[in-house]
Amino acid sequence: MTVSPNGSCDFVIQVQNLMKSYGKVTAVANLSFNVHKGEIFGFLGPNGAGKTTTLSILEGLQKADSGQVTVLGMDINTQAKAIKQQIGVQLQSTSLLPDLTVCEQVQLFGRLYGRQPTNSEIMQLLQRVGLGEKTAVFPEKLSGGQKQRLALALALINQPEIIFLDEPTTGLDPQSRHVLWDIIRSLRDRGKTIVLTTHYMEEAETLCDRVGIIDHGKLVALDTPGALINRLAGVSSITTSAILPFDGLQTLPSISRVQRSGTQLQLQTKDVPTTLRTILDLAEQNELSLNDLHIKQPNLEDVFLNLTGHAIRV
Amino acid sequence: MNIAQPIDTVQPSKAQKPTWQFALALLRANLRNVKALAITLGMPLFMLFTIWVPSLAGDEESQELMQLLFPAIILLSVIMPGLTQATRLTRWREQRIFQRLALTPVPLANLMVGTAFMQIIIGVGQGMLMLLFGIFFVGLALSWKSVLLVLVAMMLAGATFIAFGSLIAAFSRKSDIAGYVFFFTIMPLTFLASFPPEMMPDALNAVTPWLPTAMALELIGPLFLSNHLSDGALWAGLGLFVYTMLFTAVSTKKFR
Repeated sequence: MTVSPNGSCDFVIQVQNLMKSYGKVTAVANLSFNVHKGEIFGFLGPNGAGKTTTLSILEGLQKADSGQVTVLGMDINTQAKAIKQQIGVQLQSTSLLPDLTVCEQVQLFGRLYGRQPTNSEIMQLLQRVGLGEKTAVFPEKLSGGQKQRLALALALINQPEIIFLDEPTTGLDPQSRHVLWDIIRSLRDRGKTIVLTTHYMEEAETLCDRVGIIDHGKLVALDTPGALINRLAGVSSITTSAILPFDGLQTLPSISRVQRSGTQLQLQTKDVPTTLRTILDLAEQNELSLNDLHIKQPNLEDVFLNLTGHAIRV
Repeated sequence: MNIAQPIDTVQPSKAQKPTWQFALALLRANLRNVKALAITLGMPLFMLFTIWVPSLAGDEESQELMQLLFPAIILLSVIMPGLTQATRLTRWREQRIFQRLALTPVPLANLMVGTAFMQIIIGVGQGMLMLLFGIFFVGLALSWKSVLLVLVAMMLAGATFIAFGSLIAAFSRKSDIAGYVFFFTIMPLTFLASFPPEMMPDALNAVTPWLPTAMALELIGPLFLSNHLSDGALWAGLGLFVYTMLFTAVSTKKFR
């Protein structure tokens, strides 16, 4: 664990020059990053970018070809068992023992960590993830969201310091997603470190303290969502159906691009206030109404697409 | 939901034995599934029943058939948990259940052994039912000592074939393939072990005593039929033990 300038131990995960290949395919290429204690760290990336492989290595499920990984100050190659004792993991697809009830699953996993959770402790945990009414239910009877929450409960039974969540909200309805977000935030607020991967830009933007964007196994950006947007998202867009003079707009220095799409006029600008003032002046001069003026601020999705491109990955 | 409530109140307890805990959890689940349990326990009983009914006629031919088939059915009942083990382990791997379990500090090999323990306990239950059937319906005159020896022998033989099932699971990617491999491996071995030597060529007779099926039959058959251990029982027991250790060692090393 690295000691920060103020004397406190800060990094709970340190990854240096991590490499992993499957045959000729390089899944992770010289990846280096650190995760601070008590933060929600998110990995964003297209399909096959190397997110899950990276997580699998950190969790001790896979061996890296080369590079150094320490989790809670322990080497993943030599102290994997001790690391597993202190981490909790929710996998991308939840696989549960089919013949055990919700309560029995939690009890068994507790025991696999050398703990003896009492019924009231199990109940408390299940209530915490909203499964208090489902203790005697078998996994096949649970909805997707309930399975994910059970998987989260299993990831928490050993009081982990670090919780790895691989696309925890994929396929969930908005309500279930927000419930999981609340749980994840409350864990962070209590000093736990959370490392998650996600496809949802909104999730990364609202939930993560820092976001790393991975593409082709390489880390292409790493910062807070706000800093990434300011630095890399580029322009805002203003859309209106008012018939503003096209040529006049094109010559304005604050506008980088003017585009007409059907009845809509789309302007791209880095200087929203100046452009808005110009549009208002033009509308007044031409006696046009601006009933449907829309401003779209850049967001993490713009950053993501700028960095990884628009092509679909297979 | 009260999200302010602490979630991690579970305190570490004294050292547990996760392998046993895993086996017990699976056993409880198996015992609860009444239909599956009834089929598991009832199948060998049903087979015994089908050869017992004709023997009621009392003619010599029926009695000889009973003598020939009884040990073979006992052997089959000892073998079947191995098939369950092979398909269960591969199915769990296909369903990524083992991937989740691999994230706990308990090595997969220990969990595999845990499932084997569970299978052996079920096998003992099976054996006891068959013993009761033999004593009360077939008229086996077994002493308590013989009953205990039969149970121990069935446990040892069961452990061998469960370990064999684990070995197949370690090398099979799919559960149906594991099932076929187990079936098509064990059936010829069972036939070889069951046929009278005078019906077999010399070359096969030389190999047969080394087969685990033959060893199991050597150990269990005479106990059931004549209430005593055969002269070769010690070697058969030792052979089964060596096979069990060998299969377990390779499967725990290779299982992913």
